[in-house]
Amino acid sequence: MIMKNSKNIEIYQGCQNCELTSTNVRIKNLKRTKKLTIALVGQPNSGKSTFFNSLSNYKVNTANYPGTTVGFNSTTIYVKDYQVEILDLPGLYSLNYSDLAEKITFEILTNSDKSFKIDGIIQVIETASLPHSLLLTMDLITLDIPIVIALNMFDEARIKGINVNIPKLQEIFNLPVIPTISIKGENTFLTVLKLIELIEKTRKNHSIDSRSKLSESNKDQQNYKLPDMTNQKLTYYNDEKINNLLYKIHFSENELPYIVKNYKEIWKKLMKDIFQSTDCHIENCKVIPACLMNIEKIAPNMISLANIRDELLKLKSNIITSISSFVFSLGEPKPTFDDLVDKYVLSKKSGYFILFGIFFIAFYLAYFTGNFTADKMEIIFGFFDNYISNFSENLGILKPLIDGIKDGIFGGIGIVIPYLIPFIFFMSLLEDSGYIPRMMYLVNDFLKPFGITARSVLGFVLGLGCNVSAIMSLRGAMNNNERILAGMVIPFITCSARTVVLMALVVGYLGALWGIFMYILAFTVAFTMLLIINKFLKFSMQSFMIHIPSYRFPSLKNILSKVWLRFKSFVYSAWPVLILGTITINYISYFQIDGYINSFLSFFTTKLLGLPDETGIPLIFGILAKEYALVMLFSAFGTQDIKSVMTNLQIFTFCVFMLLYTPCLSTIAVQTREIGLKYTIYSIILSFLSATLISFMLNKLIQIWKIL
Amino acid sequence: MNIEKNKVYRIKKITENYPLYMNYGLIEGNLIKIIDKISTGKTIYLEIIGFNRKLALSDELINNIILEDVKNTEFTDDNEK
Repeated sequence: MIMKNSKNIEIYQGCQNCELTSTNVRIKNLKRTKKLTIALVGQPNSGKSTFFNSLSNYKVNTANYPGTTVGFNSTTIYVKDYQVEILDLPGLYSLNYSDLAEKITFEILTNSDKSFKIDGIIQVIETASLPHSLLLTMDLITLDIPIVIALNMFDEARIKGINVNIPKLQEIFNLPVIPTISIKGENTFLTVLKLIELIEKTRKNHSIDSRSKLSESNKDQQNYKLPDMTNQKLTYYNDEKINNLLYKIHFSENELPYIVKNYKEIWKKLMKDIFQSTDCHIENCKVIPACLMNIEKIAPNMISLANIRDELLKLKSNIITSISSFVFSLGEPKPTFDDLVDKYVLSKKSGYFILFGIFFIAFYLAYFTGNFTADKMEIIFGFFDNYISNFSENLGILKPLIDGIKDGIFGGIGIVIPYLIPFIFFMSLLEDSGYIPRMMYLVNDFLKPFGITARSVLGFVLGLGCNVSAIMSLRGAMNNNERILAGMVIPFITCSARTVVLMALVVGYLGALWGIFMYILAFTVAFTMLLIINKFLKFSMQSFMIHIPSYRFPSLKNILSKVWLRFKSFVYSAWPVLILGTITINYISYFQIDGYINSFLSFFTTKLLGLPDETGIPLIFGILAKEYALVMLFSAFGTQDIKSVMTNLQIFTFCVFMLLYTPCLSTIAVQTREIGLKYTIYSIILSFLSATLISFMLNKLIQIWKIL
Repeated sequence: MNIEKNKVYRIKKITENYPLYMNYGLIEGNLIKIIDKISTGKTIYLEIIGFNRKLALSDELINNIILEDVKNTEFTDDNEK
């Protein structure tokens, strides 16, 4: 049971050489010569990243939907005389991975990815989903790596009336089980300490790595026969007691520790048979039985093995059902808050109304607060702007440098940040509430004609923030075709950088309705592209399955940390390039090279799209990052009052083209890595062609209709 | 099988890709309750009762599950009380 403030006391008890700070455990005067690598492993949405953040002082993004972490993150903490590297791995349901994110975890745990050798595992379990999570526990115990179970979100489970018999769970698995509340940082360090103790104890007991023993035995060239399946019964273990237990549906309290202990040996024996009785060359599976989980992927023709595997999986499910009956109780059933809210949120009548309402309010508030802040910023920085401009007037060749730094800094503070921060804030609220998976459920049926499932909708929603993280999130897609299809189209979604340009130019000069039109246009183009690509590439229909998490009231601390994390990313990565870009454009202008570049592009910008010559360079810089197009536009015209240098139609055409054309460099890089160069090139060509065609057509139509 | 909203079914057999279904908690013998079906009825929202999990899945996937109707006497849905 968790006691308030028990963390500090227990950590001091466990680690005499540690001093506890609010965020970290640090070592006093000890050489940190020993290194350990600890993996945080758990099912999706079990709170691994929140657990990681409590150890690392908020380093990674978290959200309330499955599959937030699609790559792995690491941090180093110092505990006792160890330098401990903590890895936050993508969630997986079992060692039978079904998507690319899960595969990353599988490869690290099984040592197929040689970059890491995992010394210990903390399995983070959402307490309320304990029975389901034990599926993964049963797999992890076959790895021969010390494990500690962290029963996370223990407080939430208590509120729901869920009871867990922790001593019994410890007894059955013979593993330490620690209740944790990672969002408050309770018992997270204690869990690390317990794992280190376990690793030390295991190392003392097993001086020879048991994994190397297994791999040695695999080299044995004796001929084994495949297990006899004629009676559809498994007889793998030379212990009659185990063989008798294999087909039991329910195990008694006394049988469970015994069967769990020997379950690992059953797998090992089976693996030994496979290695030694077949010609099947199983890559990356020299170490553990886990590869049998993925037998269809590794050796598709070995159906008999898949059947055996399925029998063993049924054994596993029988074991966990039995364990759950002894250690887990749901308490008094009563209608939950989720049931009450879902009645309206998922209803056919009100569900879609709520969906559009939420997004409309989020964007409106982001726009409103952004506009308000931008106005105030303009007043504050207007004074400095004039002062610095006057100061740099007589500086000769240094003038472009000073002006460039000023434009870059003020462009960031005055334009990008006011719109970016409220937008990130509202996106974070949505992410943490648990609404996004429900939105997926609502829209899934409508996506079928487009060849994608609601899994990709997550990418589309994240794309509103940043296309890079959106494309990364597609690692959670259940099918490779869907990943490629959505990965090609996500760059059409209006990311926050483009939102900044739209807010400042379209909404600022043309009005909010034109801003909404731009969003609808981008989504329409994206879905039309899905239809076109799907027609040519003929991808098959996709299936969809996702867990729906409980609603959670977003914690302000967590939301602010997320805003800070993303803001920091802008400050560290985008802002310096923005400043460098404005300096460059100022020097291009100073040496009068801009005229050559702009006249070279003038056929396209002036003749075709009807834009001023000066827009050529900003559009080129927009490929680096979309918000640069705006700052460069100010720099190119030498004013932030764009209305004085461009007509409404030109502002509109510029924004339509900027909205749809070539993705930014970071997106192109991630696209290439995630969906391959071929499809990235297709995507770039498609976006450039569609941007040119649509902006040209809309320009002509608006001229004819005289709307602007 | 035409599955109905608010009814409880027992998973009798998974006919294809057993490990995938198992990952999501759809295990032979488990009870599921159909909470809702969205507009076209192709995406289903259900609860895996023993696992305290809610799941949304498309109809192609539910077609691979052989379900049997659980009579009211076998399962009393306390939530409905």
